[in-house]
Parts: sequence; C-alpha cells; structure tokens
Amino acid sequence: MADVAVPSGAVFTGAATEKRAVRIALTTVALVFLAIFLLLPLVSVFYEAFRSGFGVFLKAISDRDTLAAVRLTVLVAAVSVPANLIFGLAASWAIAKYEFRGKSFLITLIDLPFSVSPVTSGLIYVLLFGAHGYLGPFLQSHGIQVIFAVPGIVLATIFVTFPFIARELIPIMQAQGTQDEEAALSLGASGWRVFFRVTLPNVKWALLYGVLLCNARAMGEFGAVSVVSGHIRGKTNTMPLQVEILYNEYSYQAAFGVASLLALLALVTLIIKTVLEWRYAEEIAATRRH
Amino acid sequence: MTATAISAWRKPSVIPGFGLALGFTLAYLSLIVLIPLGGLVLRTVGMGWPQFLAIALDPRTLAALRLSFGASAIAAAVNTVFGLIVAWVLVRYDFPGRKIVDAVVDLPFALPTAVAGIALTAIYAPNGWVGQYASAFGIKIAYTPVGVFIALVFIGLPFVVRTVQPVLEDMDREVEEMAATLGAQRWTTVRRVVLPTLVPALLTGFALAFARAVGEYGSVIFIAGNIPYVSEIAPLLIVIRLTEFNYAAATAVASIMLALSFVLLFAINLLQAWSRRRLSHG
Amino acid sequence: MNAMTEFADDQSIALGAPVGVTIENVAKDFGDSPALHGVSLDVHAGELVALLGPSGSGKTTLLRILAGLEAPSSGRVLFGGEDTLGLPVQDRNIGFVFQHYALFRHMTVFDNIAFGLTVRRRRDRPASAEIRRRVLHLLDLVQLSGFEKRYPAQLSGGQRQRVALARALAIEPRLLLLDEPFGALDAQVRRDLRRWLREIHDRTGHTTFFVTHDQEEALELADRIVVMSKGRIEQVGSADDIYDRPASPFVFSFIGESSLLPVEITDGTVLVDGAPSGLSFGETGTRPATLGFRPHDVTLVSDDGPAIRGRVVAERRHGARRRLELQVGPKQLRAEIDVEVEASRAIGSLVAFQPERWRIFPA
Repeated sequence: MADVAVPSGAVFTGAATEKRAVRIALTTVALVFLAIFLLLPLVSVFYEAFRSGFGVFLKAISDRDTLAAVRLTVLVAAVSVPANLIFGLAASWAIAKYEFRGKSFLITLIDLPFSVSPVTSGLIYVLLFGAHGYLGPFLQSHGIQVIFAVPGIVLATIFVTFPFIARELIPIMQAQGTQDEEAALSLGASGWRVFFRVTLPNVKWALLYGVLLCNARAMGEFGAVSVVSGHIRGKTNTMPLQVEILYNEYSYQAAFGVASLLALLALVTLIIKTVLEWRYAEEIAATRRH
Repeated sequence: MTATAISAWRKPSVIPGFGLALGFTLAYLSLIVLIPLGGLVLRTVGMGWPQFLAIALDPRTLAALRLSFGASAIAAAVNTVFGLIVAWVLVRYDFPGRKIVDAVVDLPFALPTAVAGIALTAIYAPNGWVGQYASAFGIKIAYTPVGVFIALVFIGLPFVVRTVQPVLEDMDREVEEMAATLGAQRWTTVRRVVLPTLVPALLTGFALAFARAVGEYGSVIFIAGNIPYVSEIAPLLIVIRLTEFNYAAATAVASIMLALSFVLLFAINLLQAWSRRRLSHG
Repeated sequence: MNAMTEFADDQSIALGAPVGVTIENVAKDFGDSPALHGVSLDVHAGELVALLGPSGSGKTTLLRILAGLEAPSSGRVLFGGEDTLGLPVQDRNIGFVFQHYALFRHMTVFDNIAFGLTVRRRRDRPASAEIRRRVLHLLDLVQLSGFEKRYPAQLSGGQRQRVALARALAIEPRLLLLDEPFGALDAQVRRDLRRWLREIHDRTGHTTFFVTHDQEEALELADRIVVMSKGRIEQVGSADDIYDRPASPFVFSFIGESSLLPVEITDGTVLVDGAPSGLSFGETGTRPATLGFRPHDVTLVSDDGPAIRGRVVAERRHGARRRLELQVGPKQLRAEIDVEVEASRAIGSLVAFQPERWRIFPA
C-alpha cells in the first residue's frame, strides 16, 4: 500500500512503516538467514543423494536393509498416528465440550512430552521394560520383548508425538463451543451420531493438519527410537536410524539417499500443510500456536 | 456418568460421553506419559543422594550440561533476534514469493532431525559448502561447539517466528500512526511502542526454542564431533551411559535435565505472566 | 462534573498557534477505487468543523490526508498558507485522536500523555519537571487527576477517550483531528463528552476537524458542517444551513427525518402521482423533480381538495405524536408523516395531506 499511488517527487513514506532502504535491508537479512540456515541443508540433502548419479541413488535405496527400514517406519507410523488420533479426539472432546476443575492442569500434562528430550523419552521405556527395568524380569519370563524390538519403538514414537493432534484440536473445538452439539441433541440425534455428523466435520481440516504433523514426526523421530531400538539391521532400524548407520559406516551416498526420501516426506508434508493453510486459513488460524 | 456423579468439580452438561472421553484420556495419558515418567523419578529418588551427587558433579556431566544449556541459550537468543526479523518481514512487507518463504519457515518442524544433522554436517565440514570458506579463515565449525550452536539455531527458528507472527498480525497499526503524529521518528516508535508489546511473544518464542534445543539429539550428534568435555551434549551422554549399561548415570542426567528445563520454563512463564498482565486488553 | 472553572491559565495549553487550513482539489485513489474526487475546503483558524457522512464517504480519508498519514494522489493541503506536500507526519504538529483511542497499552496514563514530549530531539525536549507539570495540567483539564499511574486497561471507555485527547493536546498542536471520537462510547457518555469537548475547544481555540457519521453530534458541536458522500463534498454550512437549506436530496435525507417523492412540475404546479398536490413552484414548463419534506411538517387536509394522497400501511407511536407510513400512488412510493395521536387512521385507510415546509430538488 505504501508504494501505491504516491506521486513522483513526493517524499511521503507511510507513517507506520519503515523507509524503503530499511525495508529492503531487513528483507534481505531475513531471506539470507533463511537461505543459509533452512534452505541450504535441504538442498544439500538432494545434492549429496544424487551427486554420483541416479543409478547409484536407486541402488542405495533398494538395498534390502533399507527397504526393511522403510517398511518398519511405515508400520510404526501406521500404529502410532491412529493411536494418538483417537487420544486427541477423546482429549479435545473432554476438554472443549465440558467445564470441569483441573482442566488447565490436564492441558499442561498433555503438553508434557514437548518438554522432554527425545532421548529421555526413550530412556523411560528402557527403565520400565528393559532387562533391568521394573517390568523386565516379568516380561522376560513370559518371552515378551519390548525394548530392542518393535513394541518399544512404537511406544517411544507414541510418546514423542503424543500432543500433536490434541494440540491442534483443543483450541478449535473450544472456539466452536457446544451450541452445534446441543442443537443436534435437541433434534434427537444420539451422542455418537452427533460426534460423527456434527463435531468431526467441524474440525476436519484441523484434524488433517494435526495428523500430518504427527505423521511427519512419527516417521522422522530419531532420538527416542534410537535409544529403544537396539539398531538391529533389517529388524529394528527405522529410516532415520538407517541413515545414521549408513553415515557412520561412511556410506555417505546411501545415507543421503535414504535421507532424501525422508526430506521428500518433509517437503510433501509442508506442501500439503501450506495448501491447507491457504485454503482453510481461518479455520486453521484458531489452532496456530505451536 | 450418572447424575449423582455430577458434583462440584464439573458443570452439568447435556452432551453425553464425558465419562468415556475423560476416562480414556486419563488412562492413555497415564499409561503413555505419567507412569513411564514416574518410573524415571522413582529411579532417581531410589538411588540416594551420594550416588546422585557423584554423577551430577562428575566433570563430564557438568561439561555436557553446560554445553547443552549454554549453546541452547545462545541459539535461542539468536533465534529470537532473527525470528523477529523474519516474522516482521513476513507480516509487514510484501515481496514476490512471500507465501513460499512463509512455508519454508516450518521446514525444521517437518525435516527429520537425523536428516538435518547429516545435511548440516555436510555443509559445515571443512570441505563443505560453507565450511571451506570458514576454514580458509581458520574457523572450524563442524565437530566443535559452534556446530552444536548451528544445529540448535536450525531447529529452534520456527518456534520464535510462529509465536511472534500472529501477535504482529493482530497488532493495531493505528497505535504506530498515533506515535508518528506525536512526532516520534520510526525507530523511536518501533523501540518504544512496538517492541514492548512484543515482549511476551518473544519470551514465549525464546522459551519454546530453548526447551526444544536443550533436549535436541538427532540434528546435533552428527555435527558436534562428540568430544567428551568439549562438544558432547547432555542427551548424548545419556545414550552413552545407557550403552555402558550404567542406568543410574543415564537416569540421573536425564532427571537433572528435566528438572532444569522445568525450572527455566517456570521462570519464563512467570516473567511472561508479569509482562502480559500489563498488556491485558485495552 | 464541572471542573472547568478551576482553570485560570488555559493559555498554557494552546501554545501552538491555531492555523487556517486550505484544501485544494484533493483527490485520493487506493489502487483503482477513488476515495476522494477533487475536494476543496477553506477552514479558518480556530474553527470547529465536522466532516459528516455515511461510511465510505471519504471523510476519514480526508482526515488522514490532513494528518499526513496518507498522501493525496493530487491536489494540495495548506496550513496557514504553507504547502504541506512533503511535510512528514512527524513534523506536522497535529493532534490526532483515533476512534479506538490507540493508547499505548504498556505505558501508564502519564507516560501516554508525555510520549509526544519525550520523543522530541534533545534540544527541543522540555525538562522532565516541565513535562511533568504539563502532563498533570492536562490531566486536570480532562478531569483525570490522580489517574496518572493507571494503565489504559484499567480505565473506562470515556476515560480512555479523555487520555487520548490529553495526549494529542500535549504536543501543543496547530490542528486537532478527531476520527469518530465518540463512536465507541455509550449514549450517555457520548453526550457528556460532546459538551465537554465543545467547552475545551472554546477555551483552547484549536482549529479542529472531527469525523462523524452521527448528524446529531455534528449539528450540536460544529461551527461548520461538511457533508460528504461518495468522495465528494455535498454541502458546507452551519447547522441551520444544512438543516433548513439542504443543497441536495442526499443532504436532505441524511440530515434529519425526511420523505422524498418523485414529482412532476407543470407550469408552476407540483404533481404527485399525476395529481395536483396543492403545492406550487414558480416555474413554467414541465420537468420531473424530487419533492422533499419532513414528517413533522405536514398537515392533514380534506380529501376533496388538492393534496398528496396515500394509503396507511403501518403506524407507530413516535414521541408525542403518531407516525403513519403511507404508500403513495401505484408505484409503491413510501412517505412518512406525523399526526396527532387522536387523528390517527386505521391501516388501509386513505389519508390526504400537504407539507407545510418542503423543498424541490432537480430530479
């Protein structure tokens, strides 16, 4: 607006904006900072993955252990995302549709995993289920293995992605209040019917948004999974762990090959997220506080 | 839920399902989060003061904690400054590609940390895109504490941008115009009128970026070089102790980190509440 | 509420000498939609002028151009004969009051009012004791003594408005600009503040522009009223001019209650719906026109003579009298008239009336 329709020769600048030179300088600083710190790493992943050609890349990612890692990653996400989705719906329903004491404390508890280091997230399950853990001897005697096996990986992943969906849903459900539900109930709809026909459609974009972020984190989680996985090739390695192993073995090309798949996942997530934000800006704005 | 169960602690509601929803929420929360975290606390308490202090005051532990908290604080501070500039530019200026740049800010949220870790290492290694110029000046970035700082800047930036951005968007431009009519030059207006109202958001952004950075593991361990006493972060020390089957040490370090984070977050929350109280409505 | 008499030295508030303002052919385009088309106006020093119009009439844009918050696309604005083109807002020495006050939320009332003085360059800045003296004096003027340590959030709407005014007066402005100053307040507070603003103006003598969409406010407060519509000035004049001698059907209908009917004038007779209305307009020839009258300026006449006739479609109590809503002629024309309560008519009945005072506007 500031540059619009100002006759040449006038020295006006908008009262509530900076001089043109300052604007250009600040924009440059911001863009250069983002380019160096955010864009450069992304570009370098793809550059390193393809620097020796597409054939080498294909060979790297079609390795048997890598494919096993891809399968495990998908499996882990396929369990942990729905689990947190159901939790997110239950928690947001309880918190947004009712008034009860201790509500804000409950929200704080839900946010708790955000302030726990991923490594600690893994550690607590080792302390619980590991050979020297509280339940270790009991599990061992029954031949159940949680740590250094898939269940541990799933549990650790659920922990680190725990708040994602609930956090997107709670504010938007709170903003929408209870009038729609009360109206539907007064028309004779049953509780479940109200939930599926009224509540869920009202929050569908925020829900998708939450699922997207939860999934990205679930597939990309490294620290927590690393602690509980045991790094058994072809068995308990997720894709991020596979990246680490390949990297530490100096198989840079292969490491970056697998990393580029994960980076692609991140890009797709970002693109869908951005499109959602552009199209359903108002609905999502209510939830936009990370 | 029967009618008798509706007591003083919750308001009556015609909407069904409270018992089921809250029951499931609490059960799941307990099983996934509270009981496992409780186990950590129990272990720590169970080891007794002498053992705990011996681990806590071990020079290697202290060095790791100092690096984790120190580098996180510096990175969060840098992110507060640049995050403010990025948010400012995104909200207030129009330039081609603004929406795409806005989307790029979320990259650290979406990019797996291990991927970020090896990519940053490739860039800042002595033969990398940036590292080669730095090493020409005799500066080493990767495999030093500077590398730790770089990785923490990467993962913390969106926290600041995304907390400051909505506040800037909601800001009443008339207040700035008002300052101008009263004779304030632009910089005076920014310094005395705009920035003070951004303080709570900046503090929140700092706190979130800091909390995330303290616990960060994946993006740091590749670039850090992990030299004990020099570039070994606290989360890595936990992992190392675990692989040595030294559960007590792992537990103690994890508890210290958790406690320190909570204390800091609590302090920042108080600070925030104080600064927000004065800005409440009006 | 009468603290006015407590002031002895009002001159200390208005050191910035008031200036006359000349607006010459000012136009403003936002992108491709014009907000002002060539507006001209002369205001002499010390005058209190209302810019009155519906939303979108360009009144706020004109005010912002005077303040230097917007640049005109063309035309000139002169303060005391001096061209303001290129004079940045900071150097205009304008007191501006926004509708929603735009108080600095993180500053106390004292710091808000002192802001304009404390941001001055060091050599122009009064000593802090002097700033304090002036702020306290202004607080006294706006009847908020003792509130200096409060924050804006702790004040009522009317109190915030008075702080905003004190803050604008603190810089000793040459010109005071108020944008819908009472727009966000309750009816009672509005009336009190309105009277109070008039008194302050009379004692401080600032050249003052205020924007409003409330005709009552404009009529009561202003020396002169500028009626605006769609980016143009419709009429400039005193309250009496605007009310009794409206220059256009827009002004007539915007100010006060009114009915407008399309009529035809044939050789000096005003025809409503083709029938003589009993009104004569000294003019020969035939042309279409618009007849305007106010509901309270009519008398009922007998049905057999010339009159305007309408069928009652609704009636309601209106103060001491009763208002009838009439449908005039077959073309669904509506008119409103006030009658004595006992003279009221049933819905559906026919009423014949003549305006006592009326105006003819070219169609």
